[in-house]
Amino acid sequence: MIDFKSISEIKGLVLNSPNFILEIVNDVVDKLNTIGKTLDAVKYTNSKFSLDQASKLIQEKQYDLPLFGVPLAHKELFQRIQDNGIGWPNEAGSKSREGSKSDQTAEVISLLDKAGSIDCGRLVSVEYAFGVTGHNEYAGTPKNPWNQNYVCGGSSSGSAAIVASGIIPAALGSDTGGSVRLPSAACGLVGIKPTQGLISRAGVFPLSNSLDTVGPLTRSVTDAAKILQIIAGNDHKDLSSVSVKIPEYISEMEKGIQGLKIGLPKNYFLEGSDKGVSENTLSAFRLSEKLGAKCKEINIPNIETANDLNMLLISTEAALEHQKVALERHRDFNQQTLMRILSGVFTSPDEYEKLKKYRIHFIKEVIYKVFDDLDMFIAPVWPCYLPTIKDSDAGASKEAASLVRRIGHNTRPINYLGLPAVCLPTGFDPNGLPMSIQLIGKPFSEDLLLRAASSLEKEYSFWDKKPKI
Amino acid sequence: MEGSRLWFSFVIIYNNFNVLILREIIKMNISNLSTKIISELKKAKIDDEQIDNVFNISLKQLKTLESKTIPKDTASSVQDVFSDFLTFNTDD
Repeated sequence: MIDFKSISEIKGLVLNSPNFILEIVNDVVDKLNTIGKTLDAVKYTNSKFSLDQASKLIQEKQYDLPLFGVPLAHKELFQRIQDNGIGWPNEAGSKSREGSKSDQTAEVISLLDKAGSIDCGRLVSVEYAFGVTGHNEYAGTPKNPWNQNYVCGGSSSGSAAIVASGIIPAALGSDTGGSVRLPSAACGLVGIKPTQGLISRAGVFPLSNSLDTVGPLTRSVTDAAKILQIIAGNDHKDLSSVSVKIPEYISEMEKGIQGLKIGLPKNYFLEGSDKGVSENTLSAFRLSEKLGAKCKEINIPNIETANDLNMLLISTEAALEHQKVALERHRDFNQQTLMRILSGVFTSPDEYEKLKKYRIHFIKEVIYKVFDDLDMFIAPVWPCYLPTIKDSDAGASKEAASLVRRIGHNTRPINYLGLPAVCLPTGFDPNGLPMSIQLIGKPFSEDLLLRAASSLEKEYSFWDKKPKI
Repeated sequence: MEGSRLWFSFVIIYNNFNVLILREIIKMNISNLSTKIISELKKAKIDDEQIDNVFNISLKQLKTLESKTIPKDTASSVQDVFSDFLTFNTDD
Protein backbone atom coordinates (compact mmCIF):
# COMPACT_ATOMS: atom_id res chain seq x y z
CA MET A 1 0.00 0.00 0.00
CA ILE A 2 2.71 2.52 0.99
CA ASP A 3 5.66 0.16 0.55
CA PHE A 4 8.88 2.10 -0.12
CA LYS A 5 6.92 5.34 -0.58
CA SER A 6 8.40 8.66 0.55
CA ILE A 7 6.78 11.06 3.01
CA SER A 8 5.55 13.33 0.20
CA GLU A 9 4.17 10.35 -1.79
CA ILE A 10 2.23 9.16 1.28
CA LYS A 11 0.95 12.67 1.94
CA GLY A 12 -0.17 12.88 -1.69
CA LEU A 13 -2.17 9.65 -1.29
CA VAL A 14 -3.93 10.68 1.92
CA LEU A 15 -4.68 14.26 0.89
CA ASN A 16 -6.63 12.89 -2.09
CA SER A 17 -8.66 10.70 0.23
CA PRO A 18 -8.15 11.31 3.99
CA ASN A 19 -10.12 8.19 5.01
CA PHE A 20 -7.44 6.18 3.23
CA ILE A 21 -5.24 6.90 6.30
CA LEU A 22 -7.18 4.26 8.23
CA GLU A 23 -6.47 1.60 5.59
CA ILE A 24 -2.81 2.60 5.51
CA VAL A 25 -2.53 2.37 9.30
CA ASN A 26 -4.17 -1.07 9.32
CA ASP A 27 -1.78 -2.23 6.61
CA VAL A 28 1.30 -0.83 8.36
CA VAL A 29 0.41 -2.36 11.75
CA ASP A 30 -0.31 -5.67 10.02
CA LYS A 31 3.07 -5.61 8.27
CA LEU A 32 4.86 -4.68 11.50
CA ASN A 33 3.24 -7.74 13.11
CA THR A 34 4.10 -10.08 10.24
CA ILE A 35 7.17 -8.97 8.25
CA GLY A 36 8.48 -6.95 11.20
CA LYS A 37 8.25 -9.85 13.59
CA THR A 38 9.81 -12.21 11.05
CA LEU A 39 12.76 -9.82 11.04
CA ASP A 40 12.76 -9.81 14.90
CA ALA A 41 12.53 -6.03 14.67
CA VAL A 42 9.22 -5.12 16.32
CA LYS A 43 8.67 -4.72 20.04
CA TYR A 44 5.13 -3.33 20.30
CA THR A 45 2.13 -2.27 18.25
CA ASN A 46 -1.21 -0.89 19.38
CA SER A 47 -3.62 -0.79 16.45
CA LYS A 48 -6.43 0.76 18.51
CA PHE A 49 -4.24 3.69 19.54
CA SER A 50 -2.91 4.18 15.98
CA LEU A 51 -6.40 4.04 14.44
CA ASP A 52 -7.78 6.44 17.07
CA GLN A 53 -4.93 8.83 16.35
CA ALA A 54 -5.68 8.56 12.61
CA SER A 55 -9.45 9.09 13.12
CA LYS A 56 -8.83 12.21 15.20
CA LEU A 57 -6.52 13.57 12.52
CA ILE A 58 -9.13 12.97 9.81
CA GLN A 59 -11.81 14.75 11.88
CA GLU A 60 -9.60 17.78 12.54
CA LYS A 61 -8.87 18.19 8.80
CA GLN A 62 -5.47 19.84 9.37
CA TYR A 63 -4.27 18.95 5.91
CA ASP A 64 -1.39 21.41 5.97
CA LEU A 65 0.46 19.54 8.73
CA PRO A 66 3.90 18.50 7.43
CA LEU A 67 3.40 14.81 8.26
CA PHE A 68 -0.39 14.60 7.81
CA GLY A 69 -1.30 10.89 7.89
CA VAL A 70 2.28 9.60 7.66
CA PRO A 71 2.75 6.38 9.66
CA LEU A 72 5.93 6.08 11.71
CA ALA A 73 7.34 3.77 14.40
CA HIS A 74 10.37 4.31 16.61
CA LYS A 75 13.10 2.71 18.66
CA GLU A 76 11.72 1.36 21.93
CA LEU A 77 13.63 3.94 24.00
CA PHE A 78 11.09 6.64 23.07
CA GLN A 79 8.41 6.78 25.73
CA ARG A 80 4.69 7.29 25.19
CA ILE A 81 1.88 7.61 27.69
CA GLN A 82 -1.63 7.67 26.26
CA ASP A 83 -4.26 10.27 27.28
CA ASN A 84 -5.97 7.57 29.38
CA GLY A 85 -2.78 7.14 31.44
CA ILE A 86 -1.70 3.84 29.88
CA GLY A 87 2.02 3.82 29.24
CA TRP A 88 3.61 1.95 26.34
CA PRO A 89 6.32 -0.60 27.22
CA ASN A 90 9.59 0.99 28.36
CA GLU A 91 11.87 -2.03 28.63
CA ALA A 92 14.86 -0.60 26.72
CA GLY A 93 15.39 -4.04 25.21
CA SER A 94 16.19 -5.63 28.55
CA LYS A 95 14.77 -8.42 30.67
CA SER A 96 15.97 -6.36 33.64
CA ARG A 97 13.13 -3.93 32.83
CA GLU A 98 10.51 -6.52 31.92
CA GLY A 99 7.04 -5.02 32.39
CA SER A 100 8.27 -1.40 32.77
CA LYS A 101 5.90 1.19 31.30
CA SER A 102 6.37 4.72 30.02
CA ASP A 103 5.45 7.45 32.50
CA GLN A 104 5.68 10.32 29.99
CA THR A 105 5.73 11.00 26.27
CA ALA A 106 9.12 11.86 24.79
CA GLU A 107 9.30 15.45 23.56
CA VAL A 108 10.23 14.38 20.02
CA ILE A 109 7.26 12.00 19.90
CA SER A 110 4.95 14.88 20.89
CA LEU A 111 6.46 17.02 18.12
CA LEU A 112 5.86 14.28 15.55
CA ASP A 113 2.25 13.89 16.82
CA LYS A 114 1.69 17.62 16.41
CA ALA A 115 3.08 17.39 12.86
CA GLY A 116 0.31 14.92 11.97
CA SER A 117 2.17 11.60 11.95
CA ILE A 118 0.59 8.35 13.15
CA ASP A 119 2.57 6.42 15.76
CA CYS A 120 2.40 2.73 14.82
CA GLY A 121 4.65 1.20 17.48
CA ARG A 122 8.04 0.58 18.99
CA LEU A 123 10.98 -1.19 17.38
CA VAL A 124 13.63 -3.39 18.92
CA SER A 125 16.72 -1.77 20.44
CA VAL A 126 19.93 -3.34 21.61
CA GLU A 127 19.70 -3.70 25.40
CA TYR A 128 20.02 -0.24 27.00
CA ALA A 129 21.10 1.01 23.52
CA PHE A 130 24.52 -0.35 24.44
CA GLY A 131 25.77 -2.36 21.48
CA VAL A 132 27.01 -1.97 17.93
CA THR A 133 26.06 -5.23 16.21
CA GLY A 134 22.34 -5.43 17.05
CA HIS A 135 22.44 -8.64 19.09
CA ASN A 136 19.82 -8.91 21.80
CA GLU A 137 19.07 -12.25 23.46
CA TYR A 138 15.93 -10.93 25.16
CA ALA A 139 14.16 -8.66 22.66
CA GLY A 140 15.49 -10.36 19.52
CA THR A 141 18.31 -9.71 17.09
CA PRO A 142 16.87 -7.89 14.05
CA LYS A 143 17.76 -9.42 10.69
CA ASN A 144 19.05 -7.29 7.85
CA PRO A 145 16.36 -7.04 5.11
CA TRP A 146 19.06 -7.18 2.40
CA ASN A 147 20.22 -10.58 3.65
CA GLN A 148 18.74 -12.03 6.82
CA ASN A 149 21.96 -13.79 7.83
CA TYR A 150 23.57 -10.42 8.42
CA VAL A 151 23.33 -7.95 11.29
CA CYS A 152 21.44 -4.65 11.16
CA GLY A 153 24.04 -2.99 13.34
CA GLY A 154 23.15 -1.35 16.62
CA SER A 155 21.73 -0.03 18.61
CA SER A 156 18.77 1.33 16.59
CA SER A 157 18.60 -2.05 14.86
CA GLY A 158 14.81 -2.48 14.71
CA SER A 159 14.33 1.05 13.34
CA ALA A 160 16.79 0.33 10.52
CA ALA A 161 15.30 -3.07 9.65
CA ILE A 162 11.75 -1.71 9.44
CA VAL A 163 12.56 1.39 7.38
CA ALA A 164 14.77 -0.65 5.02
CA SER A 165 12.00 -3.21 4.56
CA GLY A 166 9.84 -0.38 3.18
CA ILE A 167 7.00 -0.58 5.74
CA ILE A 168 7.36 3.02 6.95
CA PRO A 169 9.33 5.96 5.53
CA ALA A 170 11.12 6.95 8.74
CA ALA A 171 11.86 5.98 12.32
CA LEU A 172 13.68 7.63 15.17
CA GLY A 173 16.80 6.17 16.72
CA SER A 174 19.37 7.33 19.23
CA ASP A 175 23.12 7.72 18.71
CA THR A 176 25.65 7.71 21.59
CA GLY A 177 28.57 6.06 19.80
CA GLY A 178 27.14 5.34 16.34
CA SER A 179 23.71 3.87 17.06
CA VAL A 180 21.88 5.75 14.30
CA ARG A 181 24.72 5.66 11.75
CA LEU A 182 25.84 2.02 12.09
CA PRO A 183 22.32 0.57 11.55
CA SER A 184 21.60 3.14 8.82
CA ALA A 185 24.81 2.15 7.03
CA ALA A 186 24.13 -1.56 7.47
CA CYS A 187 20.64 -1.27 5.98
CA GLY A 188 21.26 1.32 3.24
CA LEU A 189 19.57 4.26 4.98
CA VAL A 190 20.16 7.93 5.51
CA GLY A 191 20.77 8.54 9.21
CA ILE A 192 21.33 11.79 11.04
CA LYS A 193 23.39 12.10 14.20
CA PRO A 194 22.68 15.72 15.14
CA THR A 195 24.90 18.25 16.89
CA GLN A 196 24.79 17.70 20.63
CA GLY A 197 21.95 19.84 21.97
CA LEU A 198 19.98 20.31 18.73
CA ILE A 199 17.27 17.72 19.48
CA SER A 200 15.61 17.07 22.84
CA ARG A 201 16.26 13.75 24.61
CA ALA A 202 13.52 14.36 27.20
CA GLY A 203 11.54 11.16 27.70
CA VAL A 204 14.12 8.98 25.95
CA PHE A 205 15.68 6.14 27.97
CA PRO A 206 19.18 7.38 28.92
CA LEU A 207 22.52 5.70 28.31
CA SER A 208 25.03 8.57 28.57
CA ASN A 209 23.92 12.05 29.58
CA SER A 210 26.86 13.76 27.88
CA LEU A 211 26.69 11.84 24.62
CA ASP A 212 23.13 10.67 23.87
CA THR A 213 21.58 12.20 20.75
CA VAL A 214 18.36 11.50 18.85
CA GLY A 215 18.07 11.28 15.06
CA PRO A 216 16.00 9.94 12.15
CA LEU A 217 16.62 6.94 9.90
CA THR A 218 15.04 7.25 6.43
CA ARG A 219 15.44 6.01 2.85
CA SER A 220 16.11 9.48 1.45
CA VAL A 221 17.88 12.69 2.34
CA THR A 222 14.67 14.67 1.77
CA ASP A 223 12.72 12.55 4.27
CA ALA A 224 15.54 12.86 6.81
CA ALA A 225 15.47 16.66 6.38
CA LYS A 226 11.68 16.71 6.85
CA ILE A 227 11.84 14.78 10.11
CA LEU A 228 14.78 16.86 11.34
CA GLN A 229 12.84 20.06 10.65
CA ILE A 230 10.10 18.88 13.01
CA ILE A 231 12.18 17.54 15.89
CA ALA A 232 15.04 20.09 16.02
CA GLY A 233 14.73 22.89 18.55
CA ASN A 234 15.24 24.00 22.11
CA ASP A 235 13.55 22.15 24.98
CA HIS A 236 13.84 23.29 28.59
CA LYS A 237 13.20 19.71 29.76
CA ASP A 238 16.58 18.62 28.37
CA LEU A 239 19.42 20.46 30.11
CA SER A 240 21.81 19.83 27.20
CA SER A 241 19.39 21.47 24.75
CA VAL A 242 20.55 24.70 23.13
CA SER A 243 18.75 27.59 21.53
CA VAL A 244 19.91 28.12 17.95
CA LYS A 245 18.20 29.33 14.80
CA ILE A 246 16.86 26.30 12.93
CA PRO A 247 17.42 26.62 9.16
CA GLU A 248 14.84 25.65 6.53
CA TYR A 249 16.53 22.35 5.76
CA ILE A 250 14.66 21.50 2.55
CA SER A 251 15.21 24.83 0.85
CA GLU A 252 18.85 24.94 2.01
CA MET A 253 19.34 21.41 0.72
CA GLU A 254 18.34 22.43 -2.79
CA LYS A 255 21.44 24.64 -3.06
CA GLY A 256 23.49 21.49 -3.65
CA ILE A 257 27.10 20.55 -3.07
CA GLN A 258 28.66 23.22 -5.32
CA GLY A 259 31.17 25.38 -3.49
CA LEU A 260 31.10 23.43 -0.23
CA LYS A 261 34.54 22.79 1.24
CA ILE A 262 34.97 19.08 1.94
CA GLY A 263 37.97 17.41 3.57
CA LEU A 264 39.29 13.86 3.53
CA PRO A 265 41.21 13.04 6.72
CA LYS A 266 44.58 11.50 5.88
CA ASN A 267 44.90 10.11 9.40
CA TYR A 268 42.85 7.67 11.50
CA PHE A 269 39.61 6.95 9.59
CA LEU A 270 40.94 5.37 6.38
CA GLU A 271 43.99 3.89 8.11
CA GLY A 272 41.72 2.07 10.55
CA SER A 273 39.31 0.73 7.92
CA ASP A 274 39.51 -2.20 5.52
CA LYS A 275 40.71 -1.54 1.97
CA GLY A 276 37.32 -1.84 0.26
CA VAL A 277 35.73 0.50 2.79
CA SER A 278 38.49 3.08 2.39
CA GLU A 279 38.22 2.92 -1.40
CA ASN A 280 34.46 3.51 -1.17
CA THR A 281 35.09 6.64 0.93
CA LEU A 282 37.80 7.88 -1.40
CA SER A 283 35.46 7.39 -4.33
CA ALA A 284 32.75 9.52 -2.64
CA PHE A 285 35.36 12.21 -1.97
CA ARG A 286 36.34 12.26 -5.66
CA LEU A 287 32.69 12.34 -6.71
CA SER A 288 32.12 15.37 -4.43
CA GLU A 289 34.93 17.20 -6.21
CA LYS A 290 33.49 16.25 -9.60
CA LEU A 291 30.13 17.68 -8.52
CA GLY A 292 31.66 21.05 -7.66
CA ALA A 293 32.81 20.80 -4.04
CA LYS A 294 36.19 22.27 -3.09
CA CYS A 295 38.03 19.21 -1.81
CA LYS A 296 41.30 18.83 0.06
CA GLU A 297 43.09 16.36 2.31
CA ILE A 298 43.21 17.24 6.01
CA ASN A 299 44.52 15.99 9.36
CA ILE A 300 42.38 15.68 12.48
CA PRO A 301 44.60 16.40 15.51
CA ASN A 302 44.77 13.89 18.38
CA ILE A 303 41.80 11.87 17.11
CA GLU A 304 43.47 8.52 17.88
CA THR A 305 42.28 8.28 21.49
CA ALA A 306 38.75 9.66 20.97
CA ASN A 307 37.21 6.20 20.45
CA ASP A 308 38.56 4.88 23.77
CA LEU A 309 37.65 8.04 25.66
CA ASN A 310 34.14 7.97 24.21
CA MET A 311 33.77 4.33 25.30
CA LEU A 312 34.97 5.26 28.78
CA LEU A 313 32.57 8.20 29.02
CA ILE A 314 29.61 6.06 27.90
CA SER A 315 30.48 3.27 30.34
CA THR A 316 31.05 5.69 33.20
CA GLU A 317 27.74 7.49 32.69
CA ALA A 318 25.88 4.23 32.00
CA ALA A 319 27.27 2.93 35.30
CA LEU A 320 26.20 6.09 37.13
CA GLU A 321 22.69 5.66 35.74
CA HIS A 322 22.28 1.88 35.79
CA GLN A 323 24.85 0.38 38.18
CA LYS A 324 22.29 -0.46 40.86
CA VAL A 325 20.05 -2.51 38.57
CA ALA A 326 23.08 -4.04 36.85
CA LEU A 327 24.32 -5.41 40.17
CA GLU A 328 20.94 -6.41 41.55
CA ARG A 329 19.64 -8.08 38.38
CA HIS A 330 22.84 -8.98 36.52
CA ARG A 331 21.46 -12.36 35.52
CA ASP A 332 18.76 -10.55 33.52
CA PHE A 333 21.32 -8.73 31.34
CA ASN A 334 22.97 -9.82 28.12
CA GLN A 335 26.58 -10.52 29.11
CA GLN A 336 27.99 -7.90 26.73
CA THR A 337 25.76 -5.11 28.11
CA LEU A 338 26.72 -6.09 31.64
CA MET A 339 30.40 -6.09 30.68
CA ARG A 340 30.15 -2.59 29.24
CA ILE A 341 28.19 -1.10 32.15
CA LEU A 342 30.48 -2.65 34.72
CA SER A 343 33.60 -1.42 32.95
CA GLY A 344 32.40 2.07 33.93
CA VAL A 345 32.15 1.46 37.67
CA PHE A 346 35.88 1.85 38.26
CA THR A 347 36.01 5.50 37.15
CA SER A 348 36.52 7.72 40.20
CA PRO A 349 34.67 11.07 40.55
CA ASP A 350 37.96 12.91 39.82
CA GLU A 351 38.55 10.85 36.69
CA TYR A 352 34.98 11.48 35.55
CA GLU A 353 35.48 15.24 35.91
CA LYS A 354 38.76 15.00 33.99
CA LEU A 355 37.09 12.95 31.27
CA LYS A 356 34.41 15.60 30.74
CA LYS A 357 36.87 18.49 30.96
CA TYR A 358 39.32 16.92 28.52
CA ARG A 359 36.45 16.39 26.10
CA ILE A 360 35.64 20.12 26.15
CA HIS A 361 39.30 20.97 25.53
CA PHE A 362 39.54 18.40 22.72
CA ILE A 363 36.40 19.66 20.97
CA LYS A 364 37.71 23.21 21.00
CA GLU A 365 41.11 22.13 19.68
CA VAL A 366 39.61 20.12 16.83
CA ILE A 367 36.83 22.40 15.62
CA TYR A 368 38.99 25.52 15.37
CA LYS A 369 41.79 23.67 13.57
CA VAL A 370 39.71 21.47 11.28
CA PHE A 371 36.89 23.84 10.36
CA ASP A 372 38.98 26.98 9.95
CA ASP A 373 38.58 26.70 6.18
CA LEU A 374 36.33 23.66 5.80
CA ASP A 375 32.58 22.93 5.92
CA MET A 376 32.73 19.19 6.50
CA PHE A 377 34.83 16.08 6.18
CA ILE A 378 34.07 12.63 4.87
CA ALA A 379 34.72 9.27 6.54
CA PRO A 380 33.51 5.65 6.44
CA VAL A 381 30.85 4.44 8.89
CA TRP A 382 31.63 0.73 9.36
CA PRO A 383 35.39 0.09 9.25
CA CYS A 384 34.81 -3.31 7.64
CA TYR A 385 32.29 -5.16 5.49
CA LEU A 386 29.15 -6.05 7.40
CA PRO A 387 29.48 -9.24 9.51
CA THR A 388 26.91 -12.02 9.76
CA ILE A 389 24.79 -12.38 12.91
CA LYS A 390 26.60 -15.61 13.70
CA ASP A 391 30.14 -14.34 13.19
CA SER A 392 29.65 -11.21 15.30
CA ASP A 393 27.91 -12.90 18.24
CA ALA A 394 30.78 -12.32 20.68
CA GLY A 395 28.82 -12.03 23.94
CA ALA A 396 31.18 -11.03 26.74
CA SER A 397 34.14 -13.05 25.54
CA LYS A 398 37.68 -11.65 25.57
CA GLU A 399 37.22 -10.87 21.85
CA ALA A 400 34.01 -8.90 22.45
CA ALA A 401 35.77 -5.80 23.76
CA SER A 402 38.00 -5.54 20.70
CA LEU A 403 35.07 -6.22 18.32
CA VAL A 404 32.98 -3.48 19.97
CA ARG A 405 35.95 -1.11 19.86
CA ARG A 406 36.67 -1.89 16.22
CA ILE A 407 33.10 -1.46 14.91
CA GLY A 408 32.78 1.99 16.52
CA HIS A 409 36.19 3.14 15.23
CA ASN A 410 34.70 5.70 12.80
CA THR A 411 31.57 6.71 14.68
CA ARG A 412 32.45 7.14 18.38
CA PRO A 413 35.02 9.95 17.82
CA ILE A 414 32.23 12.02 16.27
CA ASN A 415 30.03 11.61 19.37
CA TYR A 416 33.01 12.53 21.49
CA LEU A 417 33.33 15.70 19.40
CA GLY A 418 29.58 16.38 19.67
CA LEU A 419 29.47 17.13 15.94
CA PRO A 420 26.67 16.47 13.43
CA ALA A 421 26.97 13.66 10.89
CA VAL A 422 24.84 12.35 8.04
CA CYS A 423 25.18 8.74 6.94
CA LEU A 424 24.55 8.15 3.23
CA PRO A 425 24.37 4.81 1.37
CA THR A 426 26.68 4.64 -1.62
CA GLY A 427 26.46 1.09 -2.98
CA PHE A 428 26.97 -2.56 -2.10
CA ASP A 429 29.87 -4.62 -0.78
CA PRO A 430 31.00 -7.89 -2.40
CA ASN A 431 28.44 -9.78 -0.24
CA GLY A 432 25.57 -7.63 -1.54
CA LEU A 433 25.16 -5.65 1.68
CA PRO A 434 24.95 -1.83 1.74
CA MET A 435 28.03 0.38 2.04
CA SER A 436 27.95 3.97 3.24
CA ILE A 437 29.89 7.10 4.04
CA GLN A 438 29.33 9.76 6.67
CA LEU A 439 29.65 13.50 6.23
CA ILE A 440 30.73 15.23 9.42
CA GLY A 441 30.25 18.96 9.88
CA LYS A 442 30.93 21.84 12.22
CA PRO A 443 28.47 22.44 15.08
CA PHE A 444 24.87 23.04 13.91
CA SER A 445 25.73 22.68 10.21
CA GLU A 446 23.15 19.97 9.49
CA ASP A 447 21.88 22.14 6.60
CA LEU A 448 25.26 22.00 4.85
CA LEU A 449 25.57 18.24 5.41
CA LEU A 450 22.13 17.71 3.88
CA ARG A 451 23.10 19.88 0.88
CA ALA A 452 26.10 17.67 0.15
CA ALA A 453 24.25 14.43 0.91
CA SER A 454 21.38 15.37 -1.38
CA SER A 455 23.68 15.97 -4.36
CA LEU A 456 25.59 12.74 -3.77
CA GLU A 457 22.37 10.76 -3.29
CA LYS A 458 21.22 11.70 -6.81
CA GLU A 459 24.42 10.24 -8.24
CA TYR A 460 24.29 6.99 -6.27
CA SER A 461 20.52 6.26 -6.76
CA PHE A 462 20.91 3.60 -4.07
CA TRP A 463 17.20 2.90 -3.60
CA ASP A 464 16.63 2.00 -7.27
CA LYS A 465 17.32 -1.48 -5.90
CA LYS A 466 15.11 -2.92 -3.14
CA PRO A 467 15.61 -5.77 -0.65
CA LYS A 468 13.63 -8.93 -1.32
CA ILE A 469 11.92 -9.94 1.89
CA MET B 1 44.39 6.79 45.88
CA GLU B 2 46.24 7.18 42.56
CA GLY B 3 49.37 5.58 44.05
CA SER B 4 47.59 2.53 45.29
CA ARG B 5 45.80 2.22 41.95
CA LEU B 6 49.15 2.29 40.13
CA TRP B 7 50.52 -0.42 42.40
CA PHE B 8 47.36 -2.40 41.94
CA SER B 9 47.58 -2.00 38.16
CA PHE B 10 51.20 -3.10 38.18
CA VAL B 11 50.38 -6.31 40.01
CA ILE B 12 47.51 -7.00 37.63
CA ILE B 13 49.59 -6.34 34.52
CA TYR B 14 52.56 -8.30 35.88
CA ASN B 15 50.39 -11.32 36.40
CA ASN B 16 48.77 -11.10 33.00
CA PHE B 17 45.30 -10.43 34.41
CA ASN B 18 45.08 -13.85 35.88
CA VAL B 19 41.79 -14.48 37.65
CA LEU B 20 43.49 -16.38 40.45
CA ILE B 21 45.85 -13.48 41.10
CA LEU B 22 42.93 -11.08 41.06
CA ARG B 23 41.33 -13.16 43.79
CA GLU B 24 44.53 -12.95 45.79
CA ILE B 25 44.62 -9.17 45.41
CA ILE B 26 41.06 -8.90 46.60
CA LYS B 27 42.04 -10.88 49.70
CA MET B 28 44.85 -8.36 50.44
CA ASN B 29 42.39 -5.74 51.72
CA ILE B 30 43.97 -2.82 49.85
CA SER B 31 42.08 0.32 50.72
CA ASN B 32 41.27 1.98 47.41
CA LEU B 33 38.32 2.56 45.13
CA SER B 34 39.04 -0.40 42.87
CA THR B 35 39.16 -3.00 45.62
CA LYS B 36 36.02 -1.56 47.15
CA ILE B 37 34.25 -1.86 43.81
CA ILE B 38 35.59 -5.34 43.17
CA SER B 39 34.25 -6.51 46.50
CA GLU B 40 30.89 -4.95 45.67
CA LEU B 41 30.87 -6.84 42.38
CA LYS B 42 31.80 -10.05 44.15
CA LYS B 43 29.11 -9.44 46.75
CA ALA B 44 26.60 -9.08 43.91
CA LYS B 45 27.86 -12.50 42.70
CA ILE B 46 29.30 -11.21 39.42
CA ASP B 47 31.39 -13.94 37.85
CA ASP B 48 35.16 -13.66 38.65
CA GLU B 49 36.09 -13.87 34.99
CA GLN B 50 33.68 -11.03 34.17
CA ILE B 51 35.19 -8.92 36.98
CA ASP B 52 38.65 -9.55 35.60
CA ASN B 53 37.48 -8.66 32.09
CA VAL B 54 35.75 -5.38 33.02
CA PHE B 55 38.62 -4.30 35.25
CA ASN B 56 41.01 -4.93 32.37
CA ILE B 57 38.90 -2.85 29.95
CA SER B 58 38.55 -0.02 32.45
CA LEU B 59 42.24 -0.01 33.29
CA LYS B 60 43.26 0.44 29.64
CA GLN B 61 40.81 3.29 29.08
CA LEU B 62 41.70 5.07 32.32
CA LYS B 63 45.37 4.89 31.37
CA THR B 64 44.52 6.69 28.12
CA LEU B 65 42.79 9.40 30.16
CA GLU B 66 45.69 9.62 32.59
CA SER B 67 48.02 10.65 29.76
CA LYS B 68 45.91 13.70 28.87
CA THR B 69 46.61 17.20 30.07
CA ILE B 70 44.03 19.96 30.25
CA PRO B 71 44.85 23.68 29.95
CA LYS B 72 43.60 25.87 32.79
CA ASP B 73 41.54 28.10 30.50
CA THR B 74 39.31 25.25 29.25
CA ALA B 75 35.67 26.31 28.80
CA SER B 76 33.10 25.04 31.27
CA SER B 77 30.81 23.24 28.83
CA VAL B 78 30.51 21.86 25.30
CA GLN B 79 27.67 24.34 24.71
CA ASP B 80 30.01 27.25 25.56
CA VAL B 81 32.59 25.99 23.06
CA PHE B 82 29.95 25.64 20.34
CA SER B 83 28.49 29.03 21.11
CA ASP B 84 31.92 30.73 20.93
CA PHE B 85 32.66 28.88 17.70
CA LEU B 86 29.40 30.05 16.10
CA THR B 87 30.17 33.64 17.09
CA PHE B 88 33.73 33.28 15.76
CA ASN B 89 32.42 31.90 12.46
CA THR B 90 29.85 34.69 12.10
CA ASP B 91 32.47 37.37 12.84
CA ASP B 92 34.80 35.74 10.35
